Amino acid sequence: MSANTREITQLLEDWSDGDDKSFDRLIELVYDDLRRIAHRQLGVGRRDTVLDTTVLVHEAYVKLAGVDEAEWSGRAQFFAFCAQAMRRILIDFARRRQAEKRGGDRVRVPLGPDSAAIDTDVAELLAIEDAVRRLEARNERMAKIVVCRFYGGMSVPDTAEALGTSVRTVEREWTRARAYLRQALRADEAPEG
Amino acid sequence: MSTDPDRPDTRDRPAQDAVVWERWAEVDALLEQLLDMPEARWETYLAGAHREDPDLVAAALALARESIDTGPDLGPGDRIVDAALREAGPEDEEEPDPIGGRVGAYRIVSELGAGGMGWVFAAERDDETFERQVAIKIIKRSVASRDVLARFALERQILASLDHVAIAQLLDGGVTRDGRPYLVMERVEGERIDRWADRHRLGVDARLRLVLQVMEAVEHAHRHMVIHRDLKPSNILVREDGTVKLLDFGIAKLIDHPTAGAGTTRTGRRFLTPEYAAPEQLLGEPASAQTDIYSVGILLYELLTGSRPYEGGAQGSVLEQVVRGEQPTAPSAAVPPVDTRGGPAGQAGVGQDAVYSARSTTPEALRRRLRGDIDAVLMRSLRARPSERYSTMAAFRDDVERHLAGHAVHARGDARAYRIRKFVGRHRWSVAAASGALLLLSGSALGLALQRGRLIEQTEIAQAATAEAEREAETARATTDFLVGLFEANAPTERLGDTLTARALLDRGIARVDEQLEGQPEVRAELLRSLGRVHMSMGLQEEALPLLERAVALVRDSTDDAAPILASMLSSLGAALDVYRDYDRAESAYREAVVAALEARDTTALAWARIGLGSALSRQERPDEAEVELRAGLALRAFEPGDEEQVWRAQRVLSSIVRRQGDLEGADSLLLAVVEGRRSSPGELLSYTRSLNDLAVVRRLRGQYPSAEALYEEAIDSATTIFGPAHPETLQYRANLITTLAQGGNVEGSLREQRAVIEDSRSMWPDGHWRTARSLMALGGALIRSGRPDEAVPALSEAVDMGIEQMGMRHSWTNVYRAWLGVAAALTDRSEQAEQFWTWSLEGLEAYEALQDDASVASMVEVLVATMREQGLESEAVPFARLLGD
Repeated sequence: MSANTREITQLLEDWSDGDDKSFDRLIELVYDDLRRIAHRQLGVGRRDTVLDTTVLVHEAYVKLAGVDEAEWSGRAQFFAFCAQAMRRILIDFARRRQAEKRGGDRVRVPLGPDSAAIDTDVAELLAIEDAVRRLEARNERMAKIVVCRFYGGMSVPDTAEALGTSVRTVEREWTRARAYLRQALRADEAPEG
Repeated sequence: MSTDPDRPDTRDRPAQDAVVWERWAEVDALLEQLLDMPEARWETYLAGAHREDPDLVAAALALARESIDTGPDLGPGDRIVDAALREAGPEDEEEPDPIGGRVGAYRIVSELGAGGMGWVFAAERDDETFERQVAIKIIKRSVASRDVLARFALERQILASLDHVAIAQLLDGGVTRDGRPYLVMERVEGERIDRWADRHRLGVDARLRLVLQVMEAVEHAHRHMVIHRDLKPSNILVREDGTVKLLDFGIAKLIDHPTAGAGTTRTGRRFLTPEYAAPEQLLGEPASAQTDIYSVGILLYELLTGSRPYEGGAQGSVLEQVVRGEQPTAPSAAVPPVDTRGGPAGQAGVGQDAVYSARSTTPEALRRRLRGDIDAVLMRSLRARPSERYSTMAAFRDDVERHLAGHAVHARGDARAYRIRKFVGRHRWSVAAASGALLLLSGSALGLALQRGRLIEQTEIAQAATAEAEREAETARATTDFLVGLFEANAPTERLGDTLTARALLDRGIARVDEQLEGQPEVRAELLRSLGRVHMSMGLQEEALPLLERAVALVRDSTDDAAPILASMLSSLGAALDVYRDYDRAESAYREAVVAALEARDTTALAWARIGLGSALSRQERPDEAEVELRAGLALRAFEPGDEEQVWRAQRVLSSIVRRQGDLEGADSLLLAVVEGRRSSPGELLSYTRSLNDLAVVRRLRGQYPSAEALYEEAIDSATTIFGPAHPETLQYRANLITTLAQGGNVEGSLREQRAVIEDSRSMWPDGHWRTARSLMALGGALIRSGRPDEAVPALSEAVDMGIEQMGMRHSWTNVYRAWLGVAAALTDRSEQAEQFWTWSLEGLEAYEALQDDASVASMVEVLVATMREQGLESEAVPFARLLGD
């Protein structure tokens, strides 16, 4: 178990140093779990996603790291990684939904108030992804902060630790990042030409 | 992105968005500047600094406004994520249409309503014996947890025993023919309490008396150990004669038993009405009588003011506000101002004037009426921590009655003391993260004075000690005055103290420490340290460190005999650095603290410094040095009452070092001390549970199986109380117990527990969850090892099915299950099938390149190979062993 933990720690470190291959390696290890947990369990809970996200990330963590390794130093990095994985899951989901919609022939009868909400949210999700990508091109750290906070539900101190920066920086940049995201959402709301 | 020259002021949003992204660096720099200044200065600043660049100004200004917008927060857990995943939830159930039909002995007459849980129908019982109008609640299948039915009879008896004029009686219950649980209740004709009160234009007194009826009913239920858990206006009806009836008593629990959900974290919240739920419910903690007290507090608040607490507060959900330590707005301050423009405002659709006319009062009169007593009573009932609310519903009711009778209410007496306590305690929700090493702010200076009383060689320095104790008593007084001053200076009315955030108080405190305490370096240092600790507890390490460093520097420079205080200051700094994970600097702070403590001959300070040093060393993976320091610190035995938790923690760290060095006996006696200590102190159940498990692990390693089993059983019991039976932590303990039972030769006991785990997993997790499959595999393996491969076959087949369905044919876990099934087949003389399973399994596992590095899979394969060899399948095991690189 501890050899594995060491390797994961190494992978996480490589990943935070910008090595994308390690991300793919890591995702092999937990992506399925995250996706399955996300779909099956969040779907049932429905409320209070913050807490649910935390629960499922913890569960993946406990599974990987083992309960005995509570002091594992890669914790924050691992959460950051899960946040990034969660982003992929959600974006895949949103794209699929959109493709289905464009596909036209979809049979889905119960057009209750809920399904309209989902479509709006899918659009919002894609708008946010768009904004995160733009941020990535301009200020990578700010984009990472968004991923940790928004997709991973991470606390400010955890985010700071994962990104190797200060709590204050995270607070300041998160405030601005939120403004960009909100504006991106509003731009998305505006009627097209 | 050209803008329309004719309409320069109405630039559309996409165009503005384009400016933002194309000129991002400029926009961002300007935005950062704006956010560093108060909002009021933005316009002036922009008009001066960037007049010539309207595009930039407009973009930055819009963003700055977004960032202070109080709209829905984009913080973690935004509803989007929820919605995106909602699709995976269970399909909505079709509504049953039993009208005209029968449920049990009742004939359904009409539908009364539908909600999250299910549907309510009016029905009558028309058999010979008697005729009765009832309401039947049919519960959705997706809502009813698996063990609802099992517990149904018992719970129903308890609920049926609630016989109170103001509680709608539960009459009967069962399962409909299509498998939906149902409840039969007394049918009540009445109107929702809030609407009834408004329609009758009840004034404050009448509203209070109405709620007294509710309180009496809840009190009655609490005496019968029943908690409502979902009190809200729609569950409280008033009949035309003005008497109150409470509906759905205890139903929330019946449907959503804590052991039926994913621990207490998820399912327990499914049917909450968030607006009326207590913080502990939102956090997934168990409900208590205080939960109902909180809900009644909200009900009363809303009946009196027309709005709910926190509604006018800062941004974020109620939960976030509570966790941040914010207080609800006092009722008297929640009374909305008269809306002179007459438009609708405040809460949904209710014009503010309506609030007053419905209460036959005016804003000023209502505010005056609520200020003081009612503010105090409601704030007491609405405290975030259950233990700080009224201790019983009777006490709450008593205060309301005292108020109506014109006597002083009890809640007011403790308001002032509470504010000071709260300053310290506000952030307890987050204190756990910042290590338990925090002294209470107001008590710290006093605590220090007491500690100092325990100097060695007391006769020799008795005089010095007396002088020192006096000086510290002085410090303590100055500290207390200073703290009280912080609250009073800016609080012209009592209420303002409640709305200050802890953060603002801290900032003010830092500023004042410098201003006011010039020339009192020790008091300053003590306060800086306390402020540092409070910052730590709020997770603001960055700001805490400079404060603690300044405290150390002040002491070092100020007095000739700095050593006594210096030692404890340095230990505080060390603890902060430790939390900040700067172990090198923590180590040197502690080392300096050791020197200072020796110089001051202060045993207590020395003990803590060495223990701190030991923990820092242990985190640096220097176990040998760590052991020396921890042992030395603990051996001084210089602890005060209240230090126990820290001592136990140190013993636990030491025990794990000792255990890793192979000294099981030493680890045992350390952990035994922790367990015994925690058992006899009314501390936290969770840390007690974990120390039980720690000790059990050591006992198992020592081969003392019966004792390990007993400890695990106790740990499992309390983990079940805390989390439920199939929470990952409980399951970990249960897995430990299963291993121990098997190792100790109690094969039957081990199998029985393994089967119980499987059943609990089934009821806790969704169908086919990996936990259930893993447990089935474990059971199969155990059966094979105990010579019962025939019994292993069904368990392993089910595991394989689950694996295929949930993870796919190619997933490594599925293929481990297949290999096990192959073993069971081979041992029951079905060699052909065994070959087939093994071929599939190997095909899948060989394709998994990372297998050797994936501990979860590698360890499963290891056990598999060992079992195969043990069962005489030597040659068949070879290809599996090869997967591990053997």
